[in-house]
Amino acid sequence: MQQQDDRRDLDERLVAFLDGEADEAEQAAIIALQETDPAIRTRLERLAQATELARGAFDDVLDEPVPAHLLALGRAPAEAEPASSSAIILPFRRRKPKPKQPGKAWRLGRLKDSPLAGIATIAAMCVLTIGLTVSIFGNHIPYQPVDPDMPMATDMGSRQVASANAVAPDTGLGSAGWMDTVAGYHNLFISSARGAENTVFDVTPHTENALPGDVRVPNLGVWGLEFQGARRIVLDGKPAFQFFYRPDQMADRQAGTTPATDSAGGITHTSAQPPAAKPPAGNKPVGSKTAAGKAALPVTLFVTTGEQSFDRPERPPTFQHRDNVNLTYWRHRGHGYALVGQADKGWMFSVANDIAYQTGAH
Amino acid sequence: MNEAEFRDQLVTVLPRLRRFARGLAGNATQADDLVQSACERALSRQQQFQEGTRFDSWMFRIVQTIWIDQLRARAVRKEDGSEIDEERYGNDEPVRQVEARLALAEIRQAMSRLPEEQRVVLMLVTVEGYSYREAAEIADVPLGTVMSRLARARAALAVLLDQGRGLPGSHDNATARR
Repeated sequence: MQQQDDRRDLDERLVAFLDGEADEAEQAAIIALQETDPAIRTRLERLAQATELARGAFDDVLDEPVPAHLLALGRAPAEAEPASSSAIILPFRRRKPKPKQPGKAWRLGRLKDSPLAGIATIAAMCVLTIGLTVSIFGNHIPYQPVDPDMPMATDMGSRQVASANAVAPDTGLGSAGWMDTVAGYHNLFISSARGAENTVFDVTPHTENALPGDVRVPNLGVWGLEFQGARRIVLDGKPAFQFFYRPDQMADRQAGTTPATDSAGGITHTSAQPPAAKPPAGNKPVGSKTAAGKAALPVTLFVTTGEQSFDRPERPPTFQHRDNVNLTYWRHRGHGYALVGQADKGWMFSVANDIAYQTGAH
Repeated sequence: MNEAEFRDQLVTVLPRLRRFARGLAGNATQADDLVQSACERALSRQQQFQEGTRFDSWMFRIVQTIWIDQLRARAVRKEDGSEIDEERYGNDEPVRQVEARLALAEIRQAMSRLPEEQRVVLMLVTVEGYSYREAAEIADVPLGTVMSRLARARAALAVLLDQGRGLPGSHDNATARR
């Protein structure tokens, strides 16, 4: 019994040593002990191994997107007074009341006429990674490669998985799991916008000064995109912002009068490409109607903040296909960036380069 | 701290709360239910949070209190952990991750076999990086208890890992234990 107590006592001392809880005298004592007694040294190594294994055993949970119902708890309830909260409720667009039609037809009809129609259609195309299912259009919408000039996007995705994992540590966003996370956050935004009257943002176009000093909201007006707001999120355990951009009002007005047919399933929606939203000359031409239409789809931009170390190498925009979204990520001046959307690769690249230029221009 | 700041802090700490809860509860659904209960309790008791103290510690304390309460109320017992394994093995992950996943599953299973009170302090100190003093406050036990539970937890892990690893056909043994 005495021996057992001694053993337990020794384990406590060794564990406290490993945890950095031993004072200087005790540290010196442990170091001396394990140098003179091989059994103690072995014991210390074994406990250290157990500690290391346990330490990372649940880290993959940090890479998972936080479920929407939990994130929702962090937002002020809709009935709260906006004036008393930093989270201001920003309506996407006032929706005209529509005569009620029965069943699916009503939902389709309503969505078709809603300014959110484009978003709703994308939502139906999304492979949602966060447990949300969008079935408003049934399952007859096949997945389409987002870039008609590229090989099948699925092939492209699988081919790039290895390289993505190889380069991920350089992004400052930790393991490659962050890509799934940002894709998930993007898809979550798209899907939660379906039929939603309001989206609550932590930062709105009127409260941009609430952002950290070194974080700017890029102006994407030239791309036909309007900044809607930003939400605080956590990426790989680090604070980050997710910026939301949607086709600007001019795009919507244009779209309202010239509805386009979505190539993905014959669904009529309102994402026609207005002249203002055309990528500037010099970019890869977008030859097809699909690509042109995709250009006016919402995008989200992720920016990590609060990094103490700026010594990670800069990384130029790099392309990835993930979870039915196109993802362009880069590192610049201590921030990791990821632009996520469903427009084609060339367009996404151009926007990413523009953002990189804008954020480096000050 | 006003309401908005409070909610911001809550969102920021969510991933860590989920990790902690996953360690306690084992399966994802139960863990997220636990986090949700904790967040709801925190929101309803905002005024009880003391300014100047650590918000994350306060939240972890709520999570662990609710977890212990639930254990007592439901007399949750996990003799074989089969429910957990199903979930952990059910994901379709790339082949290259399978090996790492097996090792991870092994260590998680080993952790799930620890007594609750040991697992709580192991999660708090080893996974979450709290000091012994902070862990003692969160778990509401004396410092010495934290030390002895940590030591026993790690000693038990070392033994379980030895059983699962060092022997030939260790994976088969690990499978059999499930």
